[in-house]
Amino acid sequence: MHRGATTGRRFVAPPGRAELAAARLFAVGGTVLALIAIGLGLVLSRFRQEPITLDGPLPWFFADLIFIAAVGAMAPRLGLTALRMLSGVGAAGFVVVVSGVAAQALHAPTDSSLVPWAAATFGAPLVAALVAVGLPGAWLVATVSLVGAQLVRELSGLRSAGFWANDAQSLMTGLTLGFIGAIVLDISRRLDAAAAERSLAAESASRERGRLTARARAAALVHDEVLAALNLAASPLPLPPERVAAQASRARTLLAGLASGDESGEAAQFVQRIADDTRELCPEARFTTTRADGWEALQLTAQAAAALRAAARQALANSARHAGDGAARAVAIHWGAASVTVRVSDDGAGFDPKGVPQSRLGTRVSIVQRMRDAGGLARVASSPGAGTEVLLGWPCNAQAGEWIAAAAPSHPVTAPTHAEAAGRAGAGFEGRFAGQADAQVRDSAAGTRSYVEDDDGVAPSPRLLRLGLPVIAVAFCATQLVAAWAAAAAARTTASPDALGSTAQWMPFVVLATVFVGSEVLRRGRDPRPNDRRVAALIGVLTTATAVGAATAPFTFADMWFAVSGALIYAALAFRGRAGAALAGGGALLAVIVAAGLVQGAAPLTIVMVAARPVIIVGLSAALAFAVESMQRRAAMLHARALRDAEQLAWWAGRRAELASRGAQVHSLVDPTLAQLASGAQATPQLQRQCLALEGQLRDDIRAGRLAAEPLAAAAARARARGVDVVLLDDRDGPIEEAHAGDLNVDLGTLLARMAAALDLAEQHAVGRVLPVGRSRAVSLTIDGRPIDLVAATPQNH
Amino acid sequence: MQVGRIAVVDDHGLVALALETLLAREADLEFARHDTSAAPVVRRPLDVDVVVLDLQLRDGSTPAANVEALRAWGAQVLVLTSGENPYLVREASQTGALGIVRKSAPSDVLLAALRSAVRGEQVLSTEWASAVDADPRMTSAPLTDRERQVLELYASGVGAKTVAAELFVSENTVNDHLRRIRSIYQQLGRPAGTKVELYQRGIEDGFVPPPSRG
Repeated sequence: MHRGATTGRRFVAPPGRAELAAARLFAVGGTVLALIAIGLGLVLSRFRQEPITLDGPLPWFFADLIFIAAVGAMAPRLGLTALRMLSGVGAAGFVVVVSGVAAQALHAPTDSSLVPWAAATFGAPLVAALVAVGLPGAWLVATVSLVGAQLVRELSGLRSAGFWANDAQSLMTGLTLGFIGAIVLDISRRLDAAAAERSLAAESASRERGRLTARARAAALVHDEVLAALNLAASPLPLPPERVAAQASRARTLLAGLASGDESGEAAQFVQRIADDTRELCPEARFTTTRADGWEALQLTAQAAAALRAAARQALANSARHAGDGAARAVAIHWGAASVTVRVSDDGAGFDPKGVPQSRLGTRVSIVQRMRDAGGLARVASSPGAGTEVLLGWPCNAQAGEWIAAAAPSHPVTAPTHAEAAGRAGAGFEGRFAGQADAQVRDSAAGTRSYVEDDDGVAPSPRLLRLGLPVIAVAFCATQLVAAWAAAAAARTTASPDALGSTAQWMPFVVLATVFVGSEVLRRGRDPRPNDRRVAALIGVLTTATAVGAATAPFTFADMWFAVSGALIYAALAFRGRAGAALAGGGALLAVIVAAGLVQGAAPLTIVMVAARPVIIVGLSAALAFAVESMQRRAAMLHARALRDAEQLAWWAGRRAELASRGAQVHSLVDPTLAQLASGAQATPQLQRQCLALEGQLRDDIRAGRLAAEPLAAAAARARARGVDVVLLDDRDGPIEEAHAGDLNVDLGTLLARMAAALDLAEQHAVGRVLPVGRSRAVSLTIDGRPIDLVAATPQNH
Repeated sequence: MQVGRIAVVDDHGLVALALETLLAREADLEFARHDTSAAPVVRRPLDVDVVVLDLQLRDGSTPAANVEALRAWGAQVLVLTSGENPYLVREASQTGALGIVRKSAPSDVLLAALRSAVRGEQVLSTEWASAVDADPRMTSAPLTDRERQVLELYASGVGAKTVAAELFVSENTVNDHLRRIRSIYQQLGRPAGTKVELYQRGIEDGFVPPPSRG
């Protein structure tokens, strides 16, 4: 996979918006669950006529639930770390209270049915644990809760097979919803990473674009300088030789910088001038330069360069005059991506800036005002005996301001070194965005197989799936078996010898087998996203299992265990891209439950109690599956953009390299001649023709395209050496392939040879062109104002 | 005889010096002054007829803005190019400049261009014609076949007189065609609706040579 690698920089995705949003949402969900639990507890207390007393363990449960509810209520204002810590406290509180209740039951069994109920009500603490420490925490809370509750019941003589069925399904619900929640958090984390990757890619791309633009501009300016030098050297006009030599020398310096591919000619020249000034005014001063990443993007304007240089000269002169003999002086230039800064410092006598009378304008005008006028900024810091530091920055932007502000106000020694400043400017993220999950997780008994296979989306971490799916699968088999067994056992104890009673003893195992058939229908599909037929079969099997079970079991929470089984399989279906179908199946499930309840004449409250858990499981998983899908779509989009940015970056970098190599070519071509001019060589006719020929060749490099080939290139050089003004232009985008009426069936090589022959006869000027697409000819040549017939290869007569 | 006063805006003092030397020999043309930016030139009262403007200035200004400022000041503008970058030539062609001349053009060509500019006449050059002729946008421009023929011949370095002979029309007709082509091209405008296009234009204006062909 290409993710992460394309940006070419190492980084860690910082905790981002999506993860925080998901954690906050869960915490709010925890509040809702806690309030429901509190309300239900109060209702049950009245319903079962078991008042809540302050000396019992119940207030501790309520206190913990209130704490979790409060954390969720504050969640929108909390950061991720605080939210995790407070949620962790809430979850740990629940584990401590359950453990305490179980330990207490060893000594003094409770007769309250509310205590094991409260210990088994793990919804809110599970969500809190999920937010705090993820899946292991959530599973720990569910396990401790149910083991504790069961222990309390056993020790207090409240045991019943019905509780076993209920707790098994509770455990499975907790494991499944915890797992789904962990996946949502994990995906949200990955979405943040994708967003970070995208923004980094965009940033790198735009930096590269800046570099290219800067370099292209530098190349063009250097080209301009070189052409000017050659042009003027070739001019028949009487120009002062020293001016021509100076122009040639300037062109050489800039061209050498461009050809090195490393130093912008402009930057090199600026640095060179400051170095010269330093040597002249403070010969013993230490001179250093540093550059930050992306420095090429900065173009120093002529005005700013002049202001910086003049201000630096003034500072150097002041230091030489006032700092005293033996003072250590330093000049440092820092070339950043968005600003240039120059520091002139010494450890000499120093002065008290406040003691300088307002009437003395020296520093204020020559340094501070000058920089301000050029759009820069300057700060002069000094104190008697502690030396002087002058900081100059341009332009007056955040980077320069920060750099200057970071320096100590009056003590030059403590100012950050330029290398440090450069390091800060160039510092990127550290570490590495963990490679994306490629692994495709295959099987699980519950049917949650590789629900994400979109290579360009975000898959949940393979570790999470590797850890979670087998546990879910095994737990599903085990808890369903326990639930079926418990239901059968309950039927045995209460069995009447009638048909229904004996049927109730073995029927749970039939229903269990049907439920397993359902999970296999989902699991065995080749496509991770089941097709309509498979979905219909699944809904059919599960609805049948529920209907058969409901027809043969008493309508109680424990005996209707299979409603939860079906809901859990629909949860897996939702996460296989069929959330809508899962909701439909859940609807069928609900209809069967309600119908069975009405037929058996169950109390409305009992119907609600039995239906609540399957409805919550299916509804919640469908909602979370939708959320995950949307996050994955967004991550895929971000990733595609990051990829596009990376491609652009590569293109820009390539163009920049091309420009650099072109700089090197131009350098090797013209430098010997420029050197000759710079040395003040006399303008002999031969040198002038040489300059003309080079100037023409440089132009041809840019515009002649296919015409800059032999034998035409040599003929053009000969013509220029004779003083002929030759212009060669390739104005065609695309190949020359189709036949042309004018130069039909004549290949380019032959045409070039004919053009070369004709060019040798030119006396004053010649224009050769590759014509744009769609013309009657491929090329044209005009010699001394007359078009040449290249098919006949003879000048036309008029 | 009225003397045409010429100012130069160019980064290189030496270019101005060369032009000054050249003009010193001509009775009807006079060198006025040189500057490296257009801004200081237009701050003075109008005292020149033609400003010779370098396409690429280091002060960060654009050719279009410079031409506009100089035209608003009241001077005619003749643009000098050195690298034959067709993008820049096209941009300059759409300004109010009278024409485009290559720096390396022979002195007589430059002097003729200056004299035309002093008279306020369009200066049509091979550089201009080839850049316009090769502009893909011209394929959809409302040009007649005859105008396309004129443009192609002129862009190939054939002078107006020879073009006229080739096409059996008068030289005046050829010049009329060229003037109309020029005005159509000026109206073509440059689409720059989106940020991307603006950026691409920036690259063009940032003086990227056209992609190498091979």
